[in-house]
Amino acid sequence: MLTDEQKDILKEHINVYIGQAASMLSEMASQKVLLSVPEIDLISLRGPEQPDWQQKLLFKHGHIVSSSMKFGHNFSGRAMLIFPARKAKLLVDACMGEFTGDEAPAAELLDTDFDVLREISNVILNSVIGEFGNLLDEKLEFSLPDVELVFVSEDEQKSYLQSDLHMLVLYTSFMLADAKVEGVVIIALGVSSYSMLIAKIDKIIGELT
Amino acid sequence: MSFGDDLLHQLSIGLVIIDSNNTIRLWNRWMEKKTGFASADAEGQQLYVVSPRFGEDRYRKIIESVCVSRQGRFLAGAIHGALFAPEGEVTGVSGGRQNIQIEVIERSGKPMLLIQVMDVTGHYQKVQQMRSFIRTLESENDEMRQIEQTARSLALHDVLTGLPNRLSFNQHMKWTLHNLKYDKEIFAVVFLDIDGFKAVNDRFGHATGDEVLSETGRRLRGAVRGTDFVARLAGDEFTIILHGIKQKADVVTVAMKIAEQFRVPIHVKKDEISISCSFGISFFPDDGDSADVLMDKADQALYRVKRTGKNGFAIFGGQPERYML
Repeated sequence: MLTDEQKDILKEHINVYIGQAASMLSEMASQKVLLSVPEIDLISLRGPEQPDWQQKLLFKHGHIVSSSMKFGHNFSGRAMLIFPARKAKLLVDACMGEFTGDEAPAAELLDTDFDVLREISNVILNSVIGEFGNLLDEKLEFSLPDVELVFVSEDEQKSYLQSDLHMLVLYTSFMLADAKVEGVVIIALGVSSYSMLIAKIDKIIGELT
Repeated sequence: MSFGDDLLHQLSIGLVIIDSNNTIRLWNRWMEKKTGFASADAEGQQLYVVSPRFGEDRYRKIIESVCVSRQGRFLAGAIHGALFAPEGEVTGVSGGRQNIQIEVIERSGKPMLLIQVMDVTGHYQKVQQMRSFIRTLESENDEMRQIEQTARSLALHDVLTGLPNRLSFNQHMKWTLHNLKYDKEIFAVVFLDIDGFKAVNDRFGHATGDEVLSETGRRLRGAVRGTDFVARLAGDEFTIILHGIKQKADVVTVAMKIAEQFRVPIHVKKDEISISCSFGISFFPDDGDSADVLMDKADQALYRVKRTGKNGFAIFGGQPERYML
């Protein structure tokens, strides 16, 4: 749905802010954390390409850790950061100084681990949403994220988030000392917010050419 | 004190409000209780004076970033410890844990920072205890598994030769019969003993006799394929299960190879000990379809070899085959 040019513009903007989030995470984890957004997609759930994104798999079915927060006014929606639970534990261990590189079963995520995940999500989602605010020149108010452990079956995975019209999907990739943790940031947008974003990106492209 | 102010002091979480100069404007009763700082002493002070950790570069940056971006920030006690030192502590890093939430609020049109503090020390300790309990359980479980594995291995192996013992042989036979009955495959049972082993013990002593048994086990194991099963039943008696036999004649080749193993004398220290062995062979399914019957038939074939001069092998039902050393 996004042209390559539109994707490049968005990626470039987001990577600057994601870089700042990475340095904050590095400080939390006391080790270098590289964070990048290698791929961006804009998905319309009612669009003709619906089966296509479903096949692409936003996240694998199974236990996932999902952090979500609302943001708004003119440009409004819900931002989510989703990790497979086993990978989330790697990040938590790194931040707690207990990084062993071993993945752990979802059942081993304890209450305090969720606090740590809340902070990680807070840092990342703040960066991403903050960037949208800057890009659109909009003041965006948002809450702190709520974190939950969810079991998503294969069927549920397909219907997850279907009530929203548009989703901007950022595939994130965290490189820790010995491990790579991949997650997705999903920004669910309503029609007007979606149009606003596309109009702004097109305007930037127009100014460049 | 207004109703609203009174309410702030009744809350069971800590509330701190600082202005754009980092000066504390509100310090509620919960903060007084936890830190020992009276609100009269805290209010009007710079935040980092009352809580020195906020003077650290990383926390200064966080405060700045909340002010500039106006984005709320959550700090997990599991990572940061206690940013507001509990009473009696200087740094707040000796075990206290506080979850902290920092947000921008407007007061009389001026932006200020609201800092909410939740003490999670007790909870964190419980989680740590649980975690250490889980680790202890896991390590105990590993230890038990190790012990069980060793015990199982000892129960199923002959200590002297390291080969499977009689119990293991019986289990393997049972398993083989259960799995092969339906496949119509042939397998052979070899029952072997060392000729005149008693004389070896009498002449060279039991320690040397044990060495001979160990070496016999090693040579038998080396004579067959990895998929075949070699066990020591007792004393100088060994059994071999030869799997996946296509035709009975093939077993003669293996039998010759087994016999070949004893062509070279066994050296124990300075002694050179020449031994020979006799063995009988039975086949599944022609000679029987139970472990007892197959063993009995192989034993009968062995007995026939022993009776007719030892140092050879016989297939049940056939004439003893001779091999020369």
